[in-house]
Amino acid sequence: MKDNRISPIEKGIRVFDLSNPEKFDAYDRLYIGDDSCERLVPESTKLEAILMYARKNNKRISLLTSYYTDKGLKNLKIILGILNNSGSDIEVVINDIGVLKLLNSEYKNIIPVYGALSSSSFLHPYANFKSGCQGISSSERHLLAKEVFDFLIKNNFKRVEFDNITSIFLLADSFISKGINVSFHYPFTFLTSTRRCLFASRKSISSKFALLGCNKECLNYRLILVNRNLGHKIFVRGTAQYMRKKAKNNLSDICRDHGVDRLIRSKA
Amino acid sequence: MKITAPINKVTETKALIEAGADELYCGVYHDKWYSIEGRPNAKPSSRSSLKSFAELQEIIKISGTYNIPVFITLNAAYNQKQSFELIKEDLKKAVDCNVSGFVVASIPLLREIRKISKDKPLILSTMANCFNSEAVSYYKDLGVSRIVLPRDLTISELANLRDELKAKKIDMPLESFVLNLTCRNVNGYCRYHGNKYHPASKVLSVRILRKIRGLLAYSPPKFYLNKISVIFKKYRDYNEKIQPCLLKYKANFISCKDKSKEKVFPFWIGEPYQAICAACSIFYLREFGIEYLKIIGRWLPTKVKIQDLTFISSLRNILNERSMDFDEFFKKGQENYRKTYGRNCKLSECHYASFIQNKLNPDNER
Repeated sequence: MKDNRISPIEKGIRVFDLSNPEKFDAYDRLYIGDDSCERLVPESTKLEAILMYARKNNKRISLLTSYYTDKGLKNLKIILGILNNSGSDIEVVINDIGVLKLLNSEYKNIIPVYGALSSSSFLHPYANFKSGCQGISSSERHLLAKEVFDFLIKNNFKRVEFDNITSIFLLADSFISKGINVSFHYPFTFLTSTRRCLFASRKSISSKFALLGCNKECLNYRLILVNRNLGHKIFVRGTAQYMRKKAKNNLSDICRDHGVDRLIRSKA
Repeated sequence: MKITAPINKVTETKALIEAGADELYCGVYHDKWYSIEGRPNAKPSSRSSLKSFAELQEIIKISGTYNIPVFITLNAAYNQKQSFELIKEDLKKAVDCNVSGFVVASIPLLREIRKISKDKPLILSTMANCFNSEAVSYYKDLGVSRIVLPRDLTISELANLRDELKAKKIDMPLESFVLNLTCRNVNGYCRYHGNKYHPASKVLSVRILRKIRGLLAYSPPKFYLNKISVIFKKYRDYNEKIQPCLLKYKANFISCKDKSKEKVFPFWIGEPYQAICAACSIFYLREFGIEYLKIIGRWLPTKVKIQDLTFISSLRNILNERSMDFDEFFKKGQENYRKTYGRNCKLSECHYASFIQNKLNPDNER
């Protein structure tokens, strides 16, 4: 058994501000930012306050990043500059190849992590164990190509994040055996992302085709979508849509058994 | 500006070229793809693609007489070992067919193509989510010779990207969608797109079982075996068409402050319409130096594809003939839309509706 399977699991939580810091006591790592919307990049003052809190309370920091237009990238660069000068164990979770290029060229102190939005292409969120058929087991059917690992290793990814519990059963081992650590976000599994904000268009469905202005309505509302035929609810957070995929057994045990060394909790 | 048109039948090649296509693109969905994880290209349904490489060769032969290039779309993710091995086989077959180039989204596949074929143009698919100039620079280093921009970029963001590329001295031809933009979600990140495990398929499986039971009762064995395989193929295509984004939802907006609920019904997360149009954007795309206009709709009937090509090439010709302002171009565009499709264009089917509205009525700008 590998070392990381017996070491304790690092616990992380998604954080937007420091309004209730006592909530973070039980966690080792704070995940800031958002991985679905470029407009939810933390402001530099807020970031500095979180960094100070993390230093005082011995917490580690990861920045979640989304996909960015050039305008969004300019805002992100300010944050990356601060993080690059704030210590050696700061991670940035990447879901855009442009951000990867930036990190590898300009912000070399930051550790790149392959994000859950991107890694969701490794295994479909609806995939299950039954999807193995025609005499092929599902783990064999979903076995990743060698070239995928080559890409990750060549681009300095030491960690990959998942939010689909089936990925832990079917894929985690193959990453760990290649020296890539695995994190798991719960309880939401990513389904899709849009740039047409569902929160902003809630009052004016007729203008649903428009790319609407942002007042960060997503921070004040939660959105749950229901259609009986779908078989599950859709949870909308920022511009991303998620489903809830529950594990049958204790999540920590599953993760420990499969070598996952970090669990990140996200709020609805 | 060149027009890139979709094709999924050999018989439509000549008609599409004569209607104004400067380039053709297609996918090949052969039988082997049914038995493994993954699919040969971004289109979930096999009816959007050719059935064999023989058909591709035929199209290349016909288009060759008109000097029109044919590109093959290999723009799925191919993360699984099985699908990567199979796409490598397809890649070799496509090279043997003398295809003009490849539309690709996967970085490992880009590298693989460069090993097999060093000189063929590589077009980066919209599935690769290339939103910014840093990403363009990354892909340029990998040998990409053109980039299909995400349909989610606004016109001002397109302009911004072009400016950034100029400032960084990155010379990269860009391609933008102009017609039949049906999807509201970011394509490369969307897991509704082309899934095989959709829960709504349970409803369908009952229908399938009934069909099979019927065949077992009334048909001789050899006949029903063939029939069953046909039904399963149809079922798979049908199953893939039912995307969660096309369903109608009950939406509950829950306030984080007072937990009050606001219900909205019906609530759409996708486009219930099929033909979202961005044709008027051609005016600005030309200004920004975007060289290629892409028409979506491999699955559409030949008649519609010809209409689409006629419409887009008419707009391009208007701009090439003489200079004009946007108002005049917009009116001409509406007129040509009416002539081509026999109905008026609607703002509700406009991809850049708010931008167009603001341009036409600058006083209303938010």
